[in-house]
Amino acid sequence: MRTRRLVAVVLAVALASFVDPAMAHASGLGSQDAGDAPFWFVMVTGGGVVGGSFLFATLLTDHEAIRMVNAWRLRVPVDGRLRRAVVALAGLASVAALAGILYVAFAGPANGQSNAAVLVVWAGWWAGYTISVYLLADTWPLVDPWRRIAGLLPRFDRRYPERFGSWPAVAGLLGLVWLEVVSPVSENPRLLGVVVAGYTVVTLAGAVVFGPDAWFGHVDPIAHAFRFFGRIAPVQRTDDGLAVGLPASTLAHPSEPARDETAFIVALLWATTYDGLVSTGPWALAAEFLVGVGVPPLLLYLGLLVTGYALFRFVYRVASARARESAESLVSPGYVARWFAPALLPIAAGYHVAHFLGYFLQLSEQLLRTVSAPLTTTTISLVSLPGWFSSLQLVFVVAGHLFAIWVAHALSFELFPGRLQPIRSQYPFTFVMIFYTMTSMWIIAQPYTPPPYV
Amino acid sequence: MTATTDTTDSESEKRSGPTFEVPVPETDASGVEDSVPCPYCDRPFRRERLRDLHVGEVHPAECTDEEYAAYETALDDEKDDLFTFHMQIVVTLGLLFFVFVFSYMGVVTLL
Ligand SMILES: [Zn+2]
Repeated sequence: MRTRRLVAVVLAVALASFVDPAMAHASGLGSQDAGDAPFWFVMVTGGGVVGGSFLFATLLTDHEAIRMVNAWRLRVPVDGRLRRAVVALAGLASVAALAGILYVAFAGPANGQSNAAVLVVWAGWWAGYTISVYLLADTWPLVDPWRRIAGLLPRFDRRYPERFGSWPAVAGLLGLVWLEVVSPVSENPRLLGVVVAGYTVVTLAGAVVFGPDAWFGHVDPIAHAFRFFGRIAPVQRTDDGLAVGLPASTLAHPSEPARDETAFIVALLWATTYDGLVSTGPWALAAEFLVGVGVPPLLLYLGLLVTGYALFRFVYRVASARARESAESLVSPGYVARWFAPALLPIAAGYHVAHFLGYFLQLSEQLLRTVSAPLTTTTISLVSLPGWFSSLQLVFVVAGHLFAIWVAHALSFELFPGRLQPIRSQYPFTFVMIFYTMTSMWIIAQPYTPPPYV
Repeated sequence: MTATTDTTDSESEKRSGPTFEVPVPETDASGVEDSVPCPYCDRPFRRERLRDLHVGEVHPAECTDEEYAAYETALDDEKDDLFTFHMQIVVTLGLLFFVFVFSYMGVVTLL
């Protein structure tokens, strides 16, 4: 019995370790040399790697070992005085940065490409900084300028209506993404200044009325997005310092899932997809057609945003209900959805890095140039990326899904008894993920087409 | 972030369970008449074997010797099913690999 199992495992490990690099190699080759393998084949291979990795994960059924891998931590105590000094300095720097962004947005060059505020917000912060949050650590509470300023303001601590949950954050996130797509806020420094100033006023007013904890805990979409992205990060904060673990391992720790977390996590996932989808050629064609038959453009983009979000939620809910059935469990479908929602975060991060790393690197030199001379007009200089970079983007998309499979695998062992039931619970999720991988790869590989009418 | 509280005592030395509080999930057994509840946390299960597995995994320190024996039996039964399942997985992985390698070769030479 024991030897039979051992042989099976050794065989499986040998095969699977052979499968994955070979697949990655195939997909790398395929997109590098056009004409070598068609893109649809690369896409199917991506789906195959995700499906194959799930099959491989089913061979790892030692619950103790899974727990040990995810619970591994290197603790780094940080001296209290050092900690307080860093907190104080970071606070000052972040508030100064916000003031600087506002000043340069209005007083700097009117051309977005040479305005430091535009580059700092989009390339530096939303692309580069966000990547650091999920790849390294959630430093946002340290450098959130609004929270720092709110801490100094008076507060009325009006009771936050609990029934709203985190829905304001969901609406805020989708609203910001919509604004970014339909308005020239990512190119026009003056408009960016107005948006940042407006966001500052609303955030500070909300924090004064409801208290910073309620506001940043339920409403502020930026704080929410970084809190969730930060849970993927290998470096986590502890009471007396830092703890370094494996990437995404914090997500695998079983804890009572909050009711409204799922809504925001799904919004985060959809927001990244939406951002990519509207800059593809097929969307441009569809938009031209729909605007041609009389749909107002702004409404069209809002409609896609809301419909897509509803569709994502629907698919996730159906998959969760199916997971309950395939696992022969009596856990409620809603609880299954909440339980596995953290596993969606690495997918969102993988897509974000695929979408924004190239953007950040291309603009990195321009970012430095404008920041060092914020009030002078400079010519744009883009860092050119090597040809294989587009293949790397596809690898990021697939990698996000692989982390998701691992997290969901670990979580399933904490929710369902035995070893077969947890494995079976993952069939519907894996099925959806294979298609999602292929869709994301398709979006990422489309040549950039400016969204029409906006 | 793991709350490590060692629950091992002399009586249940061999019975190791989770070292952290495992949340009791919300369940919905409506329409299922013959569900089997866990005697410790009331969580219902569709089959006795699943309940036995749960009791041994989540409540190893509190459960009776009979319940622990039932857990070990359930674990043993599952082992056989798991082996069959793993053999199928290994075969599927192998097939998947060859299908991709051959179609890759086919795609590259044909197109
Ligand atoms: Zn129980």
